[in-house]
Amino acid sequence: MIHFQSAEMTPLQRWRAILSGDPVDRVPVFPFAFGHNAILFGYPNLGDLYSKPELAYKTQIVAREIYGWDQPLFFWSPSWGITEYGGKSLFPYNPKMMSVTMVEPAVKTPEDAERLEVPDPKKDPNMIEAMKWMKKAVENKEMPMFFLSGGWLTNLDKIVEIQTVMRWIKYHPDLIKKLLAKTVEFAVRQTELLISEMGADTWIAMEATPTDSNTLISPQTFEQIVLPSAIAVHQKVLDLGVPMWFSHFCSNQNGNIKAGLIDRIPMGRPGIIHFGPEVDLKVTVERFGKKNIVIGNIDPPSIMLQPYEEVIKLAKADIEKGMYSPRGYIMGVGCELPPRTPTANVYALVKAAREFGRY
Amino acid sequence: MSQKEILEKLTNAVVAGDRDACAGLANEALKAGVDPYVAIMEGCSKGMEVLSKRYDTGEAFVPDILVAADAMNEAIAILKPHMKVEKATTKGKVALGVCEGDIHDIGKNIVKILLDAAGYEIIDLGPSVPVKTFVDTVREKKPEVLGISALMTFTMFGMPEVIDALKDAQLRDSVKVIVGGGPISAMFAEKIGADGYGNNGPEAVRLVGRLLGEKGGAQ
Repeated sequence: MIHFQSAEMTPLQRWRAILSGDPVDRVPVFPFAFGHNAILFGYPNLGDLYSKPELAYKTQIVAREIYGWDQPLFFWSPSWGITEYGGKSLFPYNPKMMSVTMVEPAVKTPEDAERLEVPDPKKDPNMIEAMKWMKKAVENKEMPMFFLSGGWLTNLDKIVEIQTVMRWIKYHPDLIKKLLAKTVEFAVRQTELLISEMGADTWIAMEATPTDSNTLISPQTFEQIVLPSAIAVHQKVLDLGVPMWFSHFCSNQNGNIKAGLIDRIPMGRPGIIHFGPEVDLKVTVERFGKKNIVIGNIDPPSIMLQPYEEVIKLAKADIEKGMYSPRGYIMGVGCELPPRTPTANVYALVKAAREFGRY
Repeated sequence: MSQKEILEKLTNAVVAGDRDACAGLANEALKAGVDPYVAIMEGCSKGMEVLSKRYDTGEAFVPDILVAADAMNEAIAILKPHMKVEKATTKGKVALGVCEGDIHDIGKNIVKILLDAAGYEIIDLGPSVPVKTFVDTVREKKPEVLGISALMTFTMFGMPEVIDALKDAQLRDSVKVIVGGGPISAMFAEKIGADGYGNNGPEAVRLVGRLLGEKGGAQ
């Protein structure tokens, strides 16, 4: 790619430039900071962050200003793919909790699974509230932003208890496929709604897929059960006009990569691809860098636990592996930034990009 | 069928996660006069051992372990009532739980299944366990090993809290504390003063074996 030689770009300029394949002044930085932003604001827990889109919006913007990172806005429905289907969720108001939890699944038996109806996102007040703040972001020219979508086992484990999902993969594989098809249909309905409200070019569909990783399931299971619905949801959303997918293939995906399964998922042109720290960034660049923007994957616990100087070194190593990836590179953390990461260590990511990531 | 054949088939049925075959073979074992303890340890548990090795080498995955455990439990439910009480000894007592605030217990459950199959008595404290519950369990139930897991970077700090609380209660020397889970590393385990770290279920079993001075435990 051509590289930028003049004055400092703003985070949004950098983000848009990397999407369009234009030059950037330095490596952009996505720390995948969410919970950390609430702590930055002094919230004692993450409950409001995940239940109130207004707070998620505000904290992301201010945290980006404070640190100078380039991460665009992320949005999600506070129903989290749990309550739309009839399940019960628990927001992390306990200061020891880090994420929203499904506490009562919508589906407990194969009969429940057969009866499960695909929800209508237009009837979900949480989705309406999330869209209100997405529209605000459009008004403030904060595009393109990300919206958390689905169609994966990771979405299914918000409807069915995860160990039931794992067992049904063996006992009732066709039922799992049926349920996955319902999550694909739901993602399509959400996409249609978002497009009707704010067009297809203001946002990018994203997903995070830990349950689909080889930490839990084999590449064979991925190929036979997950891949058909992954291909379906990606293709359908792209066909509706959304320009690309940002896929956070969480955790260990080495088996799926080796078997050539990730390559079969349509990502858009370009896609944005991001693996957990278990995958060597060199492999990501070599395998996916021609068609996709790749995001780095520094080990999250190390960013939280190592001293500042070590974090600088880790960030530098990520930059060295990724910065000449053919279709663009963003330095990143391999999963969500640990919320309690020391401020200096978060700043170390941006500092390393400024010092070692200049083009 | 000879005893050897029954045990081999039981092992294979557990590995295949075949509940019906396990139930049938358990009944077959009883009819043939096979000692139920031998059927459990040399048939069922051996099947979990085979699967544990495959899991360790990336040839088996979580769904395989869970359905194998279901199949094994099917056989054990039939065999156990016929077991002589004096043979029902265990290799040691292990308490397992997930840090408070963390509901991700699939890793802990895999460790539980494998330790159980390896002959340990398990006290399962479940997900999201308060520090006090860990301490009370050590005080009252006296496990030799306490296993703590966490999947979230937020909740992993419950581990040093448990260790500190055990020290405060003067119980730290009475139990070996082992830790594991997604964000945990050997370095973190050492930093917080744990006695060991297991990267996965089979490693946890070897670690417990080593800590309890068994032959064949992790080095």
